[in-house]
Amino acid sequence: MVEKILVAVDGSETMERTVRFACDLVKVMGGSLTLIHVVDVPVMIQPNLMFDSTPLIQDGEMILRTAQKQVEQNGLKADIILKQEGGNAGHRIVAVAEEQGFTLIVMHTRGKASGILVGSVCHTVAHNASCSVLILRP
Amino acid sequence: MNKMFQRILVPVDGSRYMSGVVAHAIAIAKKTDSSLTFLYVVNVEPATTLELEKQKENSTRIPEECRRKAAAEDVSASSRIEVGSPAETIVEIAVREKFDLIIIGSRGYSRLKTLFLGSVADEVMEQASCPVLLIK
Repeated sequence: MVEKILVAVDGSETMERTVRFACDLVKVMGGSLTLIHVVDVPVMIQPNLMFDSTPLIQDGEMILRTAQKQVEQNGLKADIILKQEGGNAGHRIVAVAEEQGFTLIVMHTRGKASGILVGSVCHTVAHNASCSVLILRP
Repeated sequence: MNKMFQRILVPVDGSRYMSGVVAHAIAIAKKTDSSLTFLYVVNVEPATTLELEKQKENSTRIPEECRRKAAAEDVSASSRIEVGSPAETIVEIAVREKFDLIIIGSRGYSRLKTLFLGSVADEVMEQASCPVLLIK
């Protein structure tokens, strides 16, 4: 059971733990790692207002590079995927998982202040992914 | 390496999706040297008396079958039966007894066909305080 693992990273303070967990998982279980970050492009109310998403994309690239470096420090390798989505990033993560035949999605729930309830991206992925989903807690 | 997981809670319900969950759980336990607890929750509010009878029958058979399957692969495992609301009971036991992972089938024994996520799995995912692995 060698998993093809897609790790969703968002640059939040929990990211390091998510990546560490994914690395530990691969060390123990085997499998490959791919990091995905979805840039949340605001949905325009007025389409004629141009929105420059360059800074967001640069941020996304930085987040992915940071996570990738962490994977490498663990003696592993990871591919990276950067996507843009207006709306819920979860749908994009599910789509990528399906298109590229991932068998497991690992993600952290940001949750609410109580740290218990699952965030909307996580919720969307859990409900819509056709592969297994591992949800980590804050 | 430090152990990733020590104790894994695996709710089982006898649905046709269960065998995949059990196989995954055994594989993970083996690799991580952790122990499995197969939990069957008899729902206190069954739709019919017939359903309750079936649950009672299942509860004595299913977790024990899973335990034996794990033991046959040299995985330390126990079986257990509880009575209550399934999702609530699963979450409560996981918290109280400090399980560090819940492995649950995303679809269970239900006449309602939710596309990819059953109601018990959904509630466990929402409420648990430990990591949850949803097996599809």
